[in-house]
Amino acid sequence: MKKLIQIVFPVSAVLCGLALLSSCKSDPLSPGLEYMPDMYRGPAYETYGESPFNENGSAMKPVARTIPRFNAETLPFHETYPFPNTNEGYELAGVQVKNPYPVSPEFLEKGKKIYNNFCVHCHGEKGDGNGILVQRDKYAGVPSYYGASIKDLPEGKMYHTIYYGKNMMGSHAAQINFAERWEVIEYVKKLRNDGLGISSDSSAAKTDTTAAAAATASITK
Amino acid sequence: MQRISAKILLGVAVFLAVIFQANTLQAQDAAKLFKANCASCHKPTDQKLIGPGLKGIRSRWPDEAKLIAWIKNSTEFLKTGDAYANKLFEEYGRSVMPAQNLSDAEIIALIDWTDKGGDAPASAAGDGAAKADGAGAGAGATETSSDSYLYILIIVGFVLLVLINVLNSVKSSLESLVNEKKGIITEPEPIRTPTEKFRIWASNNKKIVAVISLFLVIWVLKQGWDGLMGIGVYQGYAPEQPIKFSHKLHAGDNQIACVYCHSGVEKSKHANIPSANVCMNCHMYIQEGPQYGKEEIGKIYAALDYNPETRTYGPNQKPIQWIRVHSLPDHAYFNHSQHVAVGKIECTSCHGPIDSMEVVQQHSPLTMGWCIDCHRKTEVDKDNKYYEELHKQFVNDPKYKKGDKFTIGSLGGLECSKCHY
Ligand code: HEC
Ligand code: HEC
Ligand code: HEC
Ligand code: HEC
Ligand code: HEC
Ligand code: HEC
Ligand code: HEC
Repeated sequence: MKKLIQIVFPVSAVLCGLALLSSCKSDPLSPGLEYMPDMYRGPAYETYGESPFNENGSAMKPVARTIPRFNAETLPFHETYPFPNTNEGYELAGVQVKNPYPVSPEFLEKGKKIYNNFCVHCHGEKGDGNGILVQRDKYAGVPSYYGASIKDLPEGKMYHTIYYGKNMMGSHAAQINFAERWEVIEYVKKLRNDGLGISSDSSAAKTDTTAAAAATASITK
Repeated sequence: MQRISAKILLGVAVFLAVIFQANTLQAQDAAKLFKANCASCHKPTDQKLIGPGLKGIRSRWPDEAKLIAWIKNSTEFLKTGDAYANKLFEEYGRSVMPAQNLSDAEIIALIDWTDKGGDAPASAAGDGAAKADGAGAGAGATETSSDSYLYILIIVGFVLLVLINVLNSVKSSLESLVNEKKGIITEPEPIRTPTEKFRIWASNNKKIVAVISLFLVIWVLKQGWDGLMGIGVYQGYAPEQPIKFSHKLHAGDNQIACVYCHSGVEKSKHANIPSANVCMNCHMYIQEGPQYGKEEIGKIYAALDYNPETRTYGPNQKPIQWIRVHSLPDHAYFNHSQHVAVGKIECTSCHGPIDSMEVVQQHSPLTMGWCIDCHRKTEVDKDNKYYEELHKQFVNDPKYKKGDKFTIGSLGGLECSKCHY
């Protein structure tokens, strides 16, 4: 009995001590100890890092003598999209802006991927304007691609809307680039044709090559 | 008399029931109509979107016929020269409210419904609160499970201590009783301090002391080793961000694709943290959150100097200063597009269950061993035409044995220069 007590007593005391010590948890708000912090926080400016070059803290600093893309003198040569964000620009775009790329099944496949990443939560999988945000009542007023109001929308207007946004739909120009915009527009047209019950092959086949050539001339990537 | 009044009561009840039913039907229809035709520009509350909020619209349009005419075709109505309508049109920057192809009855139902501010959005708020509670409970549960082991140990130790003390005192009082009976008068034990007692006990039990000190030394070494290995490893780091942005709410509950915000992830080295204009694609419309109301979303507006009343952006825009979570040292090179677009690895295999995190946490250690481990194990996608040549070389190598795996390591993914500039 005495032996047992003699063993149990110190062992339990040590257990208590251990438990108390190891219960000090590391704090999630601090990254922890750093060994050679300058390896992590080097003197070079990193992506997203702050810098004194620009007023807004951005580290982007053009190399000397580069030609600015956006400036009054160079605008006519470098402007990527010539139509202004006005009602007139929208109408003009509807007539003049055309897809410069040939449409193939792979092109549509890429468009589907873009659509499912960037548009589907508002416009819905079938383009009926019933995306998850609308279903969950977080967002409203997304039109169906084959609804009466936009079922005849020309592709140029779609481009204009993706580029500048329209009413409640914001601009998506920063997220998807020139080629991707056309990929997704072709996919939207396919969704619309599916919704209207039109076979989509015919629309893919009748890409007007002359119009496309003209458009590439006016819109440079 | 009583019968008659009962009948009247019944009649009134039936009448009321019918009316109520008709009303709710109308409200539902109106809500649907509103969603389909007006919701992209109006809210049934005071809040402005493209057009004014429509709560209390009757007070602004005393003449219902005029209001119906306006809704049917606002452009035509403007031509009548109505002063209020023209003022409104100018106020809203001459944006045109499109003509609405609705019947008079539908429009009146709409006006009734919006006039009283639509359906109370109580259900949505309750929903959010319930969810928040659930999340809290969930977090609590996981915490206790990891800590409970410790608490059990502490409690067991404490109980044992108490037990020993009690047993000891019982024993000594029994002993002295027995001795008294036997008539032996024991000398009272000399009073000793606890340290003296311990020293005597220790010199009598050298083996136990040796074993315990061995354990202690091993434990201290292990702690020290772990501590040293943890230097520079940020696993578990979850800093508080300037805006309480929740991936659980956005990527989990609302299923927004990661790429929508991190749009560089398939194209470049970096995944990109979205700039505030991406937030505005949705938050132009969603001005209130389920948990923090207008406060947190207001911070996006503050960063853009945006005024939700007038829907205009001001000149004092400042970038949101998010706090960086994942960070490799400068001497290591990691490229997202290589892993996500080419290697087809899911975000979750490196970043963990981001879509259930309220606050982003670094899930993986991001040590060199972690990178190498995966490169040793993961096989290259052989369907990728780009690797056809390399695969041939690999198989024709004299060192190749049948069954060897064509891993990232065999491509050279273990070479120092691939990851170190
Ligand atoms: C945040 C929700 C949201 C997202 C994301 C979104 N849209 Fe929209 N979209 C809208 C709303 C709202 C409208 C209705 C605009 C209006 O006419 O008032 C709209 C309208 C449109 C129209 C009709 C435009 C017109 O000229 O009438 C097209 C085409 C369109 N969206 C395509 C897209 C494509 C392609 C994407 C993905 C790159 C996309 N949308 C992403 C909400 C969204
Ligand atoms: C494309 C956007 C748009 C849609 C869709 C729209 N409206 Fe409007 N509405 C406006 C704008 C903008 C104004 C402000 C006047 C103006 O600029 O023409 C307005 C003004 C009004 C007014 C006057 C508000 C006041 O404060 O006096 C009423 C009433 C109204 N709308 C009802 C409706 C109803 C009902 C619907 C749906 C059947 C609807 N609107 C659909 C854009 C829209
Ligand atoms: C609505 C936009 C949005 C979506 C959708 C989104 N994120 Fe984020 N993500 C952000 C913002 C803003 C931050 C910076 C703030 C923060 O760390 O919480 C961020 C931060 C992160 C970070 C930490 C960056 C760092 O500092 O190291 C990771 C990792 C991440 N996101 C992964 C994902 C994954 C994986 C998904 C898809 C499941 C996803 N995100 C979806 C907006 C988004
Ligand atoms: C695709 C749409 C979308 C985008 C993009 C988006 N959000 Fe949200 N956000 C939502 C939705 C939906 C809610 C939930 C609203 C609700 O449940 O009522 C929300 C809610 C919020 C809330 C409120 C949380 C609360 O509990 O109160 C904050 C803060 C927020 N978002 C920040 C951001 C930030 C910062 C960005 C940009 C990095 C962003 N959001 C981008 C859709 C979006
Ligand atoms: C193979 C592992 C791996 C995969 C897969 C991965 N990431 Fe990362 N991610 C990292 C590492 C490592 C860093 C730290 C990079 C650094 O510090 O340069 C990081 C950093 C980030 C950041 C912080 C900012 C930046 O761009 O450096 C974001 C945001 C992010 N990841 C999002 C994503 C998203 C979204 C996906 C899925 C589409 C994804 N990641 C897939 C390993 C991964
Ligand atoms: C989950 C598994 C995984 C993890 C973790 C991982 N990688 Fe990779 N990595 C891959 C795969 C798969 C590829 C090959 C993609 C391809 O080319 O098919 C790859 C390729 C690479 C390459 C190009 C190799 C070459 O031969 O060109 C580099 C560089 C690289 N990884 C760096 C890193 C670094 C640095 C880390 C740690 C921060 C890391 N990786 C963590 C899976 C992983
Ligand atoms: C798959 C990518 C990869 C390869 C291959 C690689 N390293 Fe690393 N190495 C890393 C990363 C990531 C870190 C940063 C680890 C950290 O921050 O904890 C690192 C860190 C280091 C460090 C600093 C010590 C440390 O752990 O932080 C040394 C030294 C190093 N590497 C040497 C080498 C040598 C020598 C080789 C070639 C045999 C090599 N590395 C190959 C990714 C790689």
